[in-house]
Amino acid sequence: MDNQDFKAIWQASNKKDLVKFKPDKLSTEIVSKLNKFNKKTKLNVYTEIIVAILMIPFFTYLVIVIPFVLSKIGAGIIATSMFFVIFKMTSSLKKENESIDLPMRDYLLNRKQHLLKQIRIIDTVLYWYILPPGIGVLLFIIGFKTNTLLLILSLTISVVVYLAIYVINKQAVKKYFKPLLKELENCIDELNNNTL
Amino acid sequence: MKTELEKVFLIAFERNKNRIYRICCSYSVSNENAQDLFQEVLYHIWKSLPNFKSNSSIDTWIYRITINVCLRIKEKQNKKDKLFLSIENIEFENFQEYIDNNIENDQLIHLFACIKLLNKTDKSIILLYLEDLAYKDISEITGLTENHIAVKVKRIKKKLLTCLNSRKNG
Repeated sequence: MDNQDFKAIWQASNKKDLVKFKPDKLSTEIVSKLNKFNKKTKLNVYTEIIVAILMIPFFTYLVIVIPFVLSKIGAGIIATSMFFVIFKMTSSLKKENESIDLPMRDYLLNRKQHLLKQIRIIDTVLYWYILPPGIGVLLFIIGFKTNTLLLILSLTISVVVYLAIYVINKQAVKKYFKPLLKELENCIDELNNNTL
Repeated sequence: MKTELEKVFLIAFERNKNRIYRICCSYSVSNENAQDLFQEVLYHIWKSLPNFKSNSSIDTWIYRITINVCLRIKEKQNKKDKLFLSIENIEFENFQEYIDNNIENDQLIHLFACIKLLNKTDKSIILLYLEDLAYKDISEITGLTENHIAVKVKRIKKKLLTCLNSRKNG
């Protein structure tokens, strides 16, 4: 089988229109659906950040009105840590430098860099997303000097929630991001492989 | 109201739609998957239109996006992301069924099956080659040199030949 044979075999499937559309209707539909999709995506993306933003004035207010010192400190830590959470989240959401029209090799390298960045952010979630507000929440609860049972219950719930966030993120890195990175690296290696 | 660029794009897309669809089919596990992928390609091309620079060929640019979107389909599947939109104004032929039922030469069925077995990057190079793109264009799409492409095409064809022979004999 020579060079032309492969092409000839493949081109045999080119005798019929496999895809049909009316260009005018198609472009109208794409524009409309894209607009809807973009709105939905933006809403999903910004909800968490908006919640973090709203928490800043709320906990700042609590610092002022709550009489308990430990709770004041806790509320202060939560409000401050929200700035860091917002900063981290917005930087992780920054578009990956819209690279879909790059040549394949550059695109794969670009994806790899983006993925490494995502892994770094998720891997360090304990230090920027869990510990600072977590400590704040613990101090906030302890500061109220409520009865022991209620205190233990509140602390347990807080610890379980933060532990769950930590485990879920670690699992995401292990089960999704790391295999994806490996696959991307394989693709890049295969592409660079120049041997016959 | 369509812009000039959108008109140019629609003409180019119409010209290349069957090739793009065949590429999508080669990266997909099912017909539905191929249709989703095709629509995703269309979406990305449309979204990237403002970035298109007229100093390069629109066809080459379309293939770049097609290949890159096909390469990331596994990510989407892993993430269980539902593909974002379903375009009603497109009718698709089931490619696998079409070649199974309408092509007398069963070599195409075997060739399609063998292409599906290739790794992702080899698949993209050989598909562009089979769609009769010049080495220069494949080089622009992949970012590899023409010499590198030539070496790869030779190696991939060898793999395909081995696969075809084993299917015939098996």
